[in-house]
Amino acid sequence: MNWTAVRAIAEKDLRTVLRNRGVRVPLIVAPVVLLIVLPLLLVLGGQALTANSPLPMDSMGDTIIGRSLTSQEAATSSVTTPGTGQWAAFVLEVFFAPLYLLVPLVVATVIAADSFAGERERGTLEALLHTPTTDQELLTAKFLAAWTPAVVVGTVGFVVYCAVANLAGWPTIGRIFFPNLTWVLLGFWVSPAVAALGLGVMVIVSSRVESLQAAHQIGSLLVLPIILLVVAQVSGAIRLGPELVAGAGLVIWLVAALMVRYGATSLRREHLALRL
Amino acid sequence: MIELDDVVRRFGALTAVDGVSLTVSEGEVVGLLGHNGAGKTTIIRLVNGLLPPDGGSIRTHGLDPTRDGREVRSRTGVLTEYPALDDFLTPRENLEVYAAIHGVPAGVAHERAIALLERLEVGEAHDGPARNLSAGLKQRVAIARALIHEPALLLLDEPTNNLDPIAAREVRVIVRELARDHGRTVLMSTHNLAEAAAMCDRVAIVRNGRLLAIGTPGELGERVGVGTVEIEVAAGSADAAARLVGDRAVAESGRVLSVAAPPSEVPAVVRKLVEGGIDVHRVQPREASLEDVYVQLHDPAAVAATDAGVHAGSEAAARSRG
Repeated sequence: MNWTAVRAIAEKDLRTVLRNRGVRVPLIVAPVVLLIVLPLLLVLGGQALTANSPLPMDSMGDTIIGRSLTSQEAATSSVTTPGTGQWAAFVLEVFFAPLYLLVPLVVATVIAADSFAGERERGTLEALLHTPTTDQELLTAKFLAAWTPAVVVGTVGFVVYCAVANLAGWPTIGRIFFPNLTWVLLGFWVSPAVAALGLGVMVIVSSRVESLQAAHQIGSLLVLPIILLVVAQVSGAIRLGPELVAGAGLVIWLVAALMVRYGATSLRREHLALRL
Repeated sequence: MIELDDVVRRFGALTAVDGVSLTVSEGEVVGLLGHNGAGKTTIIRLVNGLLPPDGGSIRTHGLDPTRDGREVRSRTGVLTEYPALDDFLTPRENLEVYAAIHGVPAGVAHERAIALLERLEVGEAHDGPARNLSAGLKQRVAIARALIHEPALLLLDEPTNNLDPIAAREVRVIVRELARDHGRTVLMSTHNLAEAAAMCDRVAIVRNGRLLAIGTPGELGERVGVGTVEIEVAAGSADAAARLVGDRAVAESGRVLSVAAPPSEVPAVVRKLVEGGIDVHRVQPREASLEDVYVQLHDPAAVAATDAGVHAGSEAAARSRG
């Protein structure tokens, strides 16, 4: 493996992404909205909405924003005392758990689409194929160019979200309560796996579509399982505990590995050259 | 340096390269001349191991490009049909990335990139994004990119596409210099007849994936035998002179006669006219140009003959047709 070539191609792709406003904006907007704006709105906004309630907060028991936490919901929270603190903890720890996974997924799919389908659309792929890089080096470079920033953004997002969650929860919880074990697993085990899965899917998608736009459109369907997870979590159908998250992470890693392996077959030089 | 022997490449039902045999020697500039879709780009991709042939054999630098693609590609520099630069990188960065891929140390790559860009007169645009460059400047940067690792073999796909006349001339000079002064071998594709005649030691005319003819521009003209002689005769005698010469002659005016004949036949034509009592005032032989050859090989009758399998498409066959 010629790591100098791998690094040169990966850096080239990363520079392209960072300098391309059309790619850079969603990479910034998605984490900011999901991990900063929405949590603050839901928790602090919820408190503001109930501030003018004729009933004092304490007398509302566990009834916040029009409904009560179910016993199952309450059980998922690290704050067990009923009241606004429990709702804040539920929103920040439980509701946002699946949503957090959107961050590495979006970053990985956006960059991967640009790196594979975008490169072909811009016509730059042929020049790359005429270099002495092997198919494996090309795949490794493209993988690193998309996976590394997804993991970095996911990790930074995790750290920022920890700060946001504790800040938003402070008025009602009164102590640093975040992250719990489930979130640590999400941040450092599941998030990289989701990024790899998104990347694997995009490698396959990009090898079969004609344009960057089509790759983006199909790639956007990847968020559907996460939306379903949010619904299942909020409706109480499943509960994201440490065991489930650890197991799910393992499954996602395995599926991602299969996807990347399958996608690699479409990255053979001859196959790519036929589609130039 | 490059040897193609009866190479065939198909894409489904389409035979893009059909029994092409061709050799390119070290330091030689050979042009693949043909229409769009003639198979020129496919030949370049085959030579550099991007595509394997369906039949025949290819040796590039003495290696099999399908099996030893990495080694082959490390010694070739390729200019693709479109410049296809990374638009968000500067021209210098574009060159440095490809230098790194080819294993050129960063310091050396930086110096070479600056020198190449200056030589190709990319000017102050070194450090701006490549997307801001004109089409001509992009093409120059792409040429510099093909040269950054100092390859022994250059594969140039339409090298003067999108270039203004002055830039195109500069590129031709550079390519000729690379071959003459640095011993580089060049295989280039073009549909520009003047460019092929100006740049290439030999020209291979390709149509529908078949090699129709190969040789120096002069050889091709002679082989095809479509040279003309312009003969000025006494006023009013051009028609009589034309009748005397036969079907090959056309009276252009009352005193000018055009005869389809290679330079070697000029004395015989003049003798016939003089013996027939025609006063010959001026004789101007004109060797067949590459354009004449190209047009003749692409006329409907030749196409029909080719498609009927009259020729074999190999270099030897192309030579023997002359």
